[in-house]
Amino acid sequence: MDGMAFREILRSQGDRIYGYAFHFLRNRQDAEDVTQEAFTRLWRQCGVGDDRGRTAWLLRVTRNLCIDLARRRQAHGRRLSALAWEQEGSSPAAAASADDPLATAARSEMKADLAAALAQLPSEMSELLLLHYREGLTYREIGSIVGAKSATVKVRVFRAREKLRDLIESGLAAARESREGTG
Amino acid sequence: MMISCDELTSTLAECLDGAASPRRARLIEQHLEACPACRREVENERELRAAFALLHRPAMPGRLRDRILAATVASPEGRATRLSRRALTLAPWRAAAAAGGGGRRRGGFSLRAFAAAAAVVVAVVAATWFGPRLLERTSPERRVASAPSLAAAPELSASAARAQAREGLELALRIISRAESATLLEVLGEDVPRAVRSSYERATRQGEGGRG
Repeated sequence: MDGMAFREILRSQGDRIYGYAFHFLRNRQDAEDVTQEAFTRLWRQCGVGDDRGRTAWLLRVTRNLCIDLARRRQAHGRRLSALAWEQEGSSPAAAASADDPLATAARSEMKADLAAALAQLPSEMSELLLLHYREGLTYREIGSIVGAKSATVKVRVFRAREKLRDLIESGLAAARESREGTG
Repeated sequence: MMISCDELTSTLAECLDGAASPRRARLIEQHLEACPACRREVENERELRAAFALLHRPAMPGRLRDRILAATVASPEGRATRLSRRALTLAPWRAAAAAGGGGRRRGGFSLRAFAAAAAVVVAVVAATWFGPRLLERTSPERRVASAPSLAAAPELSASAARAQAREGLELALRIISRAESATLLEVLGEDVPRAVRSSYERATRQGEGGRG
């Protein structure tokens, strides 16, 4: 892997790795330090596998660094505020939205419901859901990151998804009740 | 051959990414046509992925990107560390191939090949250990004090430490391939003592003359 290839990986994976570290640590400075260390290790490794393998490797290294740091800081387990990512500023790709105002409003509402429900999930569950549904990793790849068998990951993702669904439904029901109460 | 529901759901991410091979994609398609439960599962996955894609992902700050580049591709020390790692993984096998006439022989590796590989490992480790110290632009006295193994031998003078470093580097340059030696010299730049550089250049000239 030469300098140009490394720059390309940094460009394409930077937001993903920083976002993962930020989800874990809830602290901008710590997430920056961990991201820097993960990419420095990648550079020293002189290339790791193909694209998917490299992503899983980077996420695994990032996770281990986060766990070490969180143990020192005792930060892991705190729940992420639904607003935390909004305040952090999004990547340009994620910020892109359709021009249809109704579709945008629907998406915005869905996003708020999802973010609120995710914030209520235990961090182990939200981590698995983000890795699977946002980062698009297979159960096997997630297993290699979190140190579990793919069958175990599959069951955990399924449980996390059910829990997320319950939380979204109860959130929607609460919002309906509150609208009817004020109306 | 049909794939099972379990097999399909285990690799849903690959299926949805279009990362499956054409043959596998056909098998998945066949399975989905015949299995309404898996069709629902795939739809659920698509919807959830679309919903998660809406979530904000914090963007890596520009200053962090600059910091990472400064610590890796733009850093001579980062390049030196990487180079020694690369040499450590590659050079033993090249040396083994050269010394053993291809490395593997009937009955396994030759003793000579293993000896050559081991010599390269020692040389590269020596270069890894002494290289960063050569990079430090500090006084010889401070250099000795900052090296744990050297500090543990109080009778070792600064000049002896420098001589050891030079020997380690010369050994590494002699043993690793010419392309890697040239890269090592380029990375270390002016930090390579003049005596080491001219000894290497002399050896290279002799080698070329001998072959020509």
